[in-house]
Amino acid sequence: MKSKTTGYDKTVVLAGNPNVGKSTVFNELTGLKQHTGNWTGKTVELAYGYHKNKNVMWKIVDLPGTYSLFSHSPEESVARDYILKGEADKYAVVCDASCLERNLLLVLQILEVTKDVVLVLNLWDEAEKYSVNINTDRLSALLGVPVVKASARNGKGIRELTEALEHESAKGHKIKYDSDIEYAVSLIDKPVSRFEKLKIISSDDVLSDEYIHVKEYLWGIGYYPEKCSELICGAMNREAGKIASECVSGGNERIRRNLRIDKALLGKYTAVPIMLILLCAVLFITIFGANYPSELLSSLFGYLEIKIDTFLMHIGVSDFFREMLVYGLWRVLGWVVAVMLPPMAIFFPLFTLLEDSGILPRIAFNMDRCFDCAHSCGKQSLTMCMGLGCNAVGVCGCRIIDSPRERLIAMLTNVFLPCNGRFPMILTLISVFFAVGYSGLTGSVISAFILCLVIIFGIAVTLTVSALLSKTMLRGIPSSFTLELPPYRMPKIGKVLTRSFLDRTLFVLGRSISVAAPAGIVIWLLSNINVADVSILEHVSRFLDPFAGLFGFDGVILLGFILGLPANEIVLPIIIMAYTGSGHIVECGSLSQIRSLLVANGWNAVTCISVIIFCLCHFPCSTTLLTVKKETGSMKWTLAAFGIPTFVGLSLCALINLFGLTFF
Amino acid sequence: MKYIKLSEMQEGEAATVEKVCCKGDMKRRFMDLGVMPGTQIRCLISSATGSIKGYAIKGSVIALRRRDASEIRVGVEN
Repeated sequence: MKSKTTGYDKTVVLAGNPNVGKSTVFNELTGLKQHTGNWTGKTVELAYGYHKNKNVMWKIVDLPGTYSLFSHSPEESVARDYILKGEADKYAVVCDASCLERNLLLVLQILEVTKDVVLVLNLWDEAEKYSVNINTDRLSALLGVPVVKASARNGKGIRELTEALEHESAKGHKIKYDSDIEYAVSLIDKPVSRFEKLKIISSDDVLSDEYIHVKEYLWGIGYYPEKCSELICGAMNREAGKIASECVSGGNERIRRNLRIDKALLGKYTAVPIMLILLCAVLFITIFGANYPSELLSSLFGYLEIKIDTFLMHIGVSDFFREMLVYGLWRVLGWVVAVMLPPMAIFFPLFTLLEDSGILPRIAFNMDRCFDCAHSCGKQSLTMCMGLGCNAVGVCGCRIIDSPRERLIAMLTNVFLPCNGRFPMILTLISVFFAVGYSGLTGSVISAFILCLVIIFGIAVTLTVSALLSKTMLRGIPSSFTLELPPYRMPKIGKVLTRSFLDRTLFVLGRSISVAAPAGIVIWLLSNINVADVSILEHVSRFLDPFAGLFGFDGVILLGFILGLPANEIVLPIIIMAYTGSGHIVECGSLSQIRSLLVANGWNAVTCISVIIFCLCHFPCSTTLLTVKKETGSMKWTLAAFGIPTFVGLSLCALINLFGLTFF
Repeated sequence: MKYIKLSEMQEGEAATVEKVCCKGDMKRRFMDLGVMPGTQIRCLISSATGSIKGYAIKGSVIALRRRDASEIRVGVEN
């Protein structure tokens, strides 16, 4: 039966532990380019896709990775709620074949909800490499569901999975618990799954409990909720152990092989240097690689501008609109794309490589001590790495942190890591004032090194502010967390390139273009509508001058940051536009031109440092603020996300200015 | 057999979980990872200060902070 409104016949849900390649299975099934990563917390929103097999159109739902249906984090509860709703026709539980026993726990839990399960033993190639042997026939017989061997990365096992989905329901598997628990389960006559009944028994909330008689029975024999959940979980663990010991042999290779790399990457003396070299290398490749394409794009936009201008003149558009479109909209757009696209198109694939190879959780391991001291969660360093790409993505990624207090800290401080929209500005200022006179490779090395220092400063600010928040607004002790260190995996370079480009680069670029274009028009209007012979832009910047002076800025700089709220990429172009007084954004120009323009407007090294620091520590862009609003659901915390970095930035700049005035 | 805290294990040492002392969410999380009395655990790697260590649990590597790992008592063969 095909439903006309939705266009699909059946639904299959992909569930599984984090890091088992669920998203890869999803991509192979749907052909949809949904990004897949190698660490906990990838799928933050539910991803949908479709797969047609024979005459059946399957809707595929990719759930966030979860260890258990007795879940903890907001991310995991998404998965739990979806599975417990029981609406799907089939549940494909994806497991890591080289680590089956742990994965079996979730399988057994899902089997308590439904018997419409297909077990996918993914990463089969990896398991073979680690000489793990699994008797799949025996496993299938014991669990009472179809078992499919797969290696989704290599496109293997997908056809077998789709065939297994067509099968009628198998017999499934139920765990036999302690007889008192079984009796209590039988007392609950609500038409819910066995798993929900087990949950009622082991939950300790008494107030909303309609099954007080069941609870009373259990209390009577000394089975308090804590003990019940221990018994239930113990039975599940024993069952998983029993099944694994019957079907699986080998498997120590996996830990032994990865340990060799871990000894270097996490070693006492090698960890810090390796991490620093990694950071420098990523920045250097991004900067050096972006130089040439940026120039190319910029001249391309310049060339097209002339064409568009002539065309608009030709068809007789009035001068006002023509200039607004060409010098307002087109130039800002051109600037954003030329400045932002190349570094982003390089940074995101590099980041994805780190992610897919399993290095990111190791960074969290090495950085953990600092976060422990700041009373925040070690996983915050993962969200910070994401923030280097885009702060809105970083804020969204904070869902991987279980404790609400620590999640808020991570969200409020994410902005202290410069995103790709701010990289170019910081980089231009560094090149203009500190790497001037060095060209090519040397210039890039110096820029990358200074940028590295800026980022380390950003990390220091993040930690300090996190620690301060832990002592004031968000008081508390660090809550417990577990960090899985997945096996190192050789990333598929081709897939990394296409995925990171399609999912991240184009996504972020699209978003910045959509705000940059209207912003371009607004800025053009502000600088071209005159009141008393002076443009509105200049009125405002003059008005801001005395206030900005306190921080070593002038009104133009401050106005640039304010108008740059929708997209930080346009801060520097606005400043340059206001200085040249040309009424529109000027061609990017050479670094030496920018330098002489800035110096002519009273900039010195101290101004430059202040601006870089303010660029690092100021209110996040509008998209990030909206993300904070959405994630916290609170106006108060959104305001805090705006106010805290601004306050920090202004205070630092005021200090630098005082220092500068005293000594220079 | 001597009993120590999980956090006190040295790199390369193996042990059996004797008791999980914490309560609530963390106990739950440990159970989900398969950390229960009787589970075999090996300490694989320690950070420079020992503030966080990586343990081999049921075939995967899980890192735990000292504070959390000290909630688990393990028995080590002499």
